[in-house]
Amino acid sequence: MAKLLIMKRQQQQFESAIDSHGQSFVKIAATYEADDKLQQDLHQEILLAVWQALPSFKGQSSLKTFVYRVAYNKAFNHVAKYSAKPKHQDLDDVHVCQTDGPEQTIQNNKALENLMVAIRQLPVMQRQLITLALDGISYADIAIITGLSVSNVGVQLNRAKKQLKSIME
Amino acid sequence: MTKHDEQWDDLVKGWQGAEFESASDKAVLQATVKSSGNKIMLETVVNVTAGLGLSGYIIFELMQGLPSLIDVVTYCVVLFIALAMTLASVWFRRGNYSALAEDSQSYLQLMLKRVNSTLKLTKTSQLLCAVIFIGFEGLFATLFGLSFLSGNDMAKPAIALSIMAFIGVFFPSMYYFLKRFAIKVSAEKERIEDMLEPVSK
Repeated sequence: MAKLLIMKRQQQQFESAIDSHGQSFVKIAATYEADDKLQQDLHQEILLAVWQALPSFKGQSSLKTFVYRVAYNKAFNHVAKYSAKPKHQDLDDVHVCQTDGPEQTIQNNKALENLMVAIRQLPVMQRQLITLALDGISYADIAIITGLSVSNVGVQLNRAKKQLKSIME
Repeated sequence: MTKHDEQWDDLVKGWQGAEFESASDKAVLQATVKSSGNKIMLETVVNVTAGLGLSGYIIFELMQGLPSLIDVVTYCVVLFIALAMTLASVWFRRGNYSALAEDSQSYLQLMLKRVNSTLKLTKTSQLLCAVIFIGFEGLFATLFGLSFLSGNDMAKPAIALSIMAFIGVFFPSMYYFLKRFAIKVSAEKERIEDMLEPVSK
């Protein structure tokens, strides 16, 4: 009975994580792996890791910071195992859904593709800071996820933004 | 608001507004994730059960008493391999999923620590392989010589020779596999060190 309740809670937490952060997981996979097929594998691995880590979630932090930590740590595992440096890739390789009108979509997609390719050129930790900031995560939560102090998050994030800008220019 | 801030805000808007293609819909993802989780669990349970079953049988046979030294040594080698494989399957499962919820800096430190111990373990295993290879080949060569010279039972030299051939193939292959694995782990270690380098706490 207790086992069933735990399973049900894990199921609910997983659904909530997918609803709230499903897109973030896809974006994390896309920024840590350029190859389309490996990207899909990494996405699946992230989801599996979140599913398996959920029973150890004790509510000491928010579910958001918990699942982000699991997702990024899985991405670090992937980088350590498969890729030494970010791969250069063609802009056509980035897949974004079309939701606006055709002209606006092309413009948006182009900008986003440029951003994605630029993010992949950043060192791994800077990539994490930039993607978290782009997701709108607060400095305090970024500090919990990364293990940096809040003031250091600001310093490191500014450095990462400068580097991102120089890559994009 | 500076121009730099405006540019950043544009990036944030573009990023948050973008809908990336997901591999499949939510229900399919959940089903895939659940079945993958169950599959990993099942594989571990089967590996552990088989390993423990085989080890139990060998220990039982050893306790019953085996007819010759060759049998004892062979059973001990198989017991060692079975226990090592059982421990490895549990260790790999633990290594994959525990501590995934640590903060990134601590997790990277943990990854480095794990990769260092894996590297040490691999190099020790390589050394052990070389020692076992030399020791066992020497032992069975002696047994072969003694049983051949005594000439009472011609089956014994043939058994010793077969075991020597098995050890001659198994341990050098294992050594080569461990050497390749150590190269892979070293590369992994370098990548983790690279990830830790740019940002300090």
